[in-house]
Amino acid sequence: MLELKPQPLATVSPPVPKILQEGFFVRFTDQWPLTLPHVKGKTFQVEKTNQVPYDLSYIIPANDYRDVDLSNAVGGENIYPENTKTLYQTLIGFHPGNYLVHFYIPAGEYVHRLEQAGMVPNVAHATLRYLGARKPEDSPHTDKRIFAYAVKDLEPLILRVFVDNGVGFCKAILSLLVNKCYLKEITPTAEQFAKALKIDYYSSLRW
Amino acid sequence: MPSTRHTALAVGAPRTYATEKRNAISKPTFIMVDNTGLRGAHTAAMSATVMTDVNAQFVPGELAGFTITNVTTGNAAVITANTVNTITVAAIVGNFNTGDTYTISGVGDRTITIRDHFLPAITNGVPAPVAQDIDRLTFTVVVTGCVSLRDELADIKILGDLRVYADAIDPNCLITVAWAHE
Repeated sequence: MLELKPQPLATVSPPVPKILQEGFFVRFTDQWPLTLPHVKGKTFQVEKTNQVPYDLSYIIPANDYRDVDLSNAVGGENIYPENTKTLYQTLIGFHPGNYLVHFYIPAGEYVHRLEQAGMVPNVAHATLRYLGARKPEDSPHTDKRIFAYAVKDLEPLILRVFVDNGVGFCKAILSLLVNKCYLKEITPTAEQFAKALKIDYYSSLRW
Repeated sequence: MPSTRHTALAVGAPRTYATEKRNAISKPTFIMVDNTGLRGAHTAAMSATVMTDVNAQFVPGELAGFTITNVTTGNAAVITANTVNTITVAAIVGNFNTGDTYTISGVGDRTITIRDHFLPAITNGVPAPVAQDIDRLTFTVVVTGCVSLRDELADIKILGDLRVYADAIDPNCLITVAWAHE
């Protein structure tokens, strides 16, 4: 449900759409919890889409951070769907700047960590602040590479935006493209199932 | 890329040239400071107290206290009042004659500062942020001088409002600023 798309090794012609389009198939794995019965283990076809750009910006002093909650919770940025038939495929890009971004879902649970004890992102630590951190150049706003998927009632995805030392203040500009997808549940054929975009639950990113 | 020209304002009320744009950083791309003063020609009939220049665009009341010099005669007088295109003095030796040229001198060297004004976000470390004023560049333009900067501005980034102020209010010091967003 959260992925960083690598730079392509080759180009194909005709080009492949980067985002979900009308008629595409998506399937949610069985790992999705019972609390999200509207998607757990189900396959859908995208009936219609609408791309909604949105920019978030924060001026943050050096060696400080702000947690940006993409969910619809109080204080959140309301980038989650409210309809059980809607999937938000959100592309996240960054404007240049002296900042790092750590991902948490839900709050306090690191998305990117290593297996050794203590090898977790920590913005208060001189070296661990770089562990699992995405830099603006990893997903430029002109070529967004971070894809997040959200459905109604999904736990909050938190972006911890940390401004590194070396500047007084930094303006972190997060450029989003929310690809709203209206879903229709289907009983997939084997071919449809194979073609469907697999959307894992975030727990699959941690083992 | 937009640009505007204004007279110099002081630090207490700096001129805002570009307000903060949420999804971009502002960059001043060009600044010209003309501290050579105002000039023109008397276009009305002879007068000892009122100089009229139909082509002028003075800011009413802004020139009081400054000195106007009749370049043709070499005489000067202190300005007591002004409208958009007239200047009043107590009296000037030799009068203002039709066609006489004049200058209104700047009062002195002007130190110009480019300022970044913004309100930081609420962060973990600062739950109640206050507005910040950060001066990004300061330079001095001597009286009768004119300075323009372009390359020197290349690395200046403005996070919030792009403001410019001088060390004193000076209607004879004209500041032109151009900027872009990135």
